[in-house]
Amino acid sequence: MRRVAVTPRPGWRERCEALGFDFHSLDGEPYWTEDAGYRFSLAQVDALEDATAELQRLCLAMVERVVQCGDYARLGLDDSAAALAEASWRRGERELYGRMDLVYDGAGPPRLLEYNADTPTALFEAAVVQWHWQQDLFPRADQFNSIHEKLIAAWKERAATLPQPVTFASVADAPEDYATAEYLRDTCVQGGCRTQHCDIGDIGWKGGAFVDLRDRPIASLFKLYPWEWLLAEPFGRHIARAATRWIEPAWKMLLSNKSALVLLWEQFPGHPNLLAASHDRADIAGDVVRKPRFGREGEGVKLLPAGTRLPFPGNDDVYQALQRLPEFDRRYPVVGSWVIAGVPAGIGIREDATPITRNSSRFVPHWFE
Amino acid sequence: MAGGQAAEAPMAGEQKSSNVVVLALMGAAFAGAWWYNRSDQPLLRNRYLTQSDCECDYGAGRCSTDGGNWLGPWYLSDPQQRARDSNDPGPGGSCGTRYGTYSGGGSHGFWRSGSSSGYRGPIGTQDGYRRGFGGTARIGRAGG
Repeated sequence: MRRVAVTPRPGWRERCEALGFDFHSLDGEPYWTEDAGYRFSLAQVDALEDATAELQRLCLAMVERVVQCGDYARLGLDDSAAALAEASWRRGERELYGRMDLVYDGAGPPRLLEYNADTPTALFEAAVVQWHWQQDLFPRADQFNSIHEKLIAAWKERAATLPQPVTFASVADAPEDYATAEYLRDTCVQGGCRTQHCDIGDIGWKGGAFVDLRDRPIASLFKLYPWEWLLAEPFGRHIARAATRWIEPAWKMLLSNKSALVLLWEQFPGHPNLLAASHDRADIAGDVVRKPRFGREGEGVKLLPAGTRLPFPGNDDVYQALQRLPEFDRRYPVVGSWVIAGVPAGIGIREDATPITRNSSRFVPHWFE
Repeated sequence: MAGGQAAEAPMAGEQKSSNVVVLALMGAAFAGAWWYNRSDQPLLRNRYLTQSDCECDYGAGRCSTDGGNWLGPWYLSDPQQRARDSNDPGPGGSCGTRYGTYSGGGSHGFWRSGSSSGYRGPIGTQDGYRRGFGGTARIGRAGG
């Protein structure tokens, strides 16, 4: 695993925009960067793929155990959220996508930092933009990235049984979220489904059903909107009795929650792809990272050196043993490993000038030989 | 195992990238043709001057503030539809009377008889059968 300086493609901005990727720069700062790329060996890519498959196995085992034990309170879920999650799991509702954020230096085992199992973004740039970059610059090499094909295959497999049209809802004034939802809609169309897009706020509740802007019942709803928000908002009380099929299913609440890191460690202590995690700072020796249960994009994440005392520790905080991110050219990369329909599908790398990955962290493409 | 799909073991030596990445909707065709006109607004919620007025109608934990007034939960504006929905919180406005409308167990004012002195009913209503989702996005990012 190396960070290699690369000459950007002539007119790379226009190339990106032609794909519909118009947020390559955010707030005047580059988000997509192609003056460098990460180069892996096949063995390293295999290690990432194997670790992702193994972590997926652990996650599903953890969900199964929570459902069997009814231990939802440790995930901070109230009775109504727990009932939704449990019912969706027992019905066998299938997951579509998720992104495991891994710390990996090319040598030791990849380890799970957190799992965005509900509303991951940075999908379009991983699946499409970096694929075109690799085709343009390294056509003889390969890339760990079959995300696009696996998404289309997943929709094709479900097209016969998924109620349609599939409505894709996101927050309209968040361009990354919108692009992620629209990209998924694109793959859904290619998978043979009828689709439409809707602002999450334009969803209505009428006649005992969630309805679209033409007041038609929403048959299936992909929502780029966290489950914990949906349930806390005014229409949350309608979810349990609506006939709408939800994507991601409600059981993904159990995994998109950082308390899942604690439950995983308890169920699989010492596993090489996990880091020690607890709700109690005192359980973990040495430096730790404190994470809020429902934070996203590095929100609320704090590094706590060994011996640090917290005067007002939060009940919802998760403490995870610190494994420092590798440093390449004063950049700290996190590997986002995509799981599509339960299968490892590829990676996208985001790097930051600090050891905490945030929404301003840059996307850097990769290849392997 | 219910729910998710078990991961399959990857095959060694196979190509790991998509053969073709073609877009059907995005790129030049990326347009907002899905916006339609909104129709009528058959949900309502009450506005109150104080939290206690609102909670007198609906009970603790069911009211929120917009920074000025206090707002009760959404209810169906059509009385006939409302009568068919046992979860509908009702139009309130009758705290302290025998005929409270809170369908989850009668008016809270009725059950807390004597606590409703000084109660002032709703000062107005707010329309909307949409916008029941999306509010949290004003203070945080949905994707990550």
